Amino acid sequence: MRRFAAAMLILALLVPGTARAKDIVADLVVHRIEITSGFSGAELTLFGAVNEKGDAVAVVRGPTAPGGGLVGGTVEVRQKTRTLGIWMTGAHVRFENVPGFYAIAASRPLEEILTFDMLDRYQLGINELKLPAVSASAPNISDYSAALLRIRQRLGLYTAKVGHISFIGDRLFRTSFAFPSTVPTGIYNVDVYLVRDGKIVDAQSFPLLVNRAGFSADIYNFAHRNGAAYGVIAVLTALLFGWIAHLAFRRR
Amino acid sequence: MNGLQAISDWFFGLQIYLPIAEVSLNIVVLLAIGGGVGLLSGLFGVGGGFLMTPLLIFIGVPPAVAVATQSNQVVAASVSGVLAHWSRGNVDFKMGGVLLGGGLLGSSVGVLIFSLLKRFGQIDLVIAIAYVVTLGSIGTIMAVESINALRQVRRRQGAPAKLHQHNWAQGLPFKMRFRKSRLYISAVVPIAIGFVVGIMSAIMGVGGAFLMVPAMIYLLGMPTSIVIGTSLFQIIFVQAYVTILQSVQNQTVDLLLALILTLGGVVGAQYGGRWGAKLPAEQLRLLMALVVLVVAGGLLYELVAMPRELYAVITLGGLS
Repeated sequence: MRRFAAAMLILALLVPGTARAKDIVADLVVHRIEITSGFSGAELTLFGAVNEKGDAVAVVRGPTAPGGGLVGGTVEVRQKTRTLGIWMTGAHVRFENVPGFYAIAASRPLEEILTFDMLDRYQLGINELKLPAVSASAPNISDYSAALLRIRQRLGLYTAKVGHISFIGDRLFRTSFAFPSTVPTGIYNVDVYLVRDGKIVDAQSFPLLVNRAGFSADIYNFAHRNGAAYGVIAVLTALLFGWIAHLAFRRR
Repeated sequence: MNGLQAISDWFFGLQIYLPIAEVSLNIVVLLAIGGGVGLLSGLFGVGGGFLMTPLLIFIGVPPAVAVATQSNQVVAASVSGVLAHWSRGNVDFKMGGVLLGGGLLGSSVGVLIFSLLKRFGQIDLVIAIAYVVTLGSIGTIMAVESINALRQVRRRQGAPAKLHQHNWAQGLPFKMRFRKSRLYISAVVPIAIGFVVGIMSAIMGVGGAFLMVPAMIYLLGMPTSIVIGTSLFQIIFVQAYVTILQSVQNQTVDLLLALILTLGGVVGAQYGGRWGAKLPAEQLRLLMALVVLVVAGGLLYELVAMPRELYAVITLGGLS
């Protein structure tokens, strides 16, 4: 906690140097999540300070661009329907600009500090996420968007529960966000809002990078850049392992 | 927390991040799956892909990665299996080569069919139905046949069995002599078998031994002792080919996952092979028939039972 306070002090000293003093400043303890072979999810701490008493809201949104990982960008939600007693893929709805990750935290329940109109405008809270349907073969699009939110929540990629931002005194605050092992890679966006009297009086936005690193990154990059060589190596490794296994178990 | 608790927590907390599958899974679970499937593969001489693929998907590996990675794992399992059979002289390389010719052709055609079905969006359904129909019919035939054989063995102990039945296939051209299998038959038959199994294995993402082994026994009339080694020999090449094809086209082979599964698999296969050598062939076949039927039943249940989640989220441009 002492180090945390020291960091805050440095921040507070640095901030007046800019053109206009920000009413809210925040930062992450680390700005990068590295997915290595031992990666099993991560917990990120966000801390910050406000100039006067108020409420804080923090949102983390994952990459929406396609190719930023296995999730993110355009997604298709397919419904299974029963035909001749068999469940098969039926109608579908495509959504665009779907974030690969969404988590939110606030110092008080959202509806107590902001009007519904404001929550909607800033897309605060999982139910306010705007998921524009680009093509649909079914009329009940809301069923499909609800399914999307539900499935992503089960994977830990979306969190419906608003995390708690705790204030230390009137000025300093902190919270943390949990990332599952299935987090998509790419550039995330962290938004921090200062709320007073139902209005957002100041905001800050900064990126968070999630990328592969080390051995797992090497394998991934090799597989994607040089597929044929990767395949040959995979086969040779398998042949070698099979042979070693045979030798190891031959006489016993 | 006591010591035992600490050890079990450490053991079951051994997560490993799989670089291609992009999920973090428990290494103990992966080793157990590899070992269990390897045991069955050693016992019956099948690659076990029809078990491995559903299991991997069940624990959270993306389907495309599960299918491609298990191909690579089957290469390793088949190599150690073939070497064991070879040392006992139970591999007909000539027959394996002819089957392989048909197999490579068939799997290329199968990959084409796969991408066509994918375009129509019903690939999952086709795979599931293919599994249920092939596993269900093969399992039933094998079960009935091996029960009959067991009855006959009991009735007339030690009576010499007929080598194989002569059928319509004897009349086809391009006759070849397969010394090891003690067969003089048309090469068209094994090539056709290899071709059909190749198509099925590409669509279903399996090695296809569970199709190949019965076909070799019942259609070709090969001696059961030679069948397993020869099928494994053939599978090495088809699956190596599929591994490279998948790596080039889809980048879905997870080397790390394959290594872990192989580690469990080869150990399991060795024990399976030893147990298999002790069990009589008819009982072994009945046991395999039961395993096949159980898997078919499970997949059929998934097709007709109300799914827990009626919707599926597919990321376009990425993996399903």
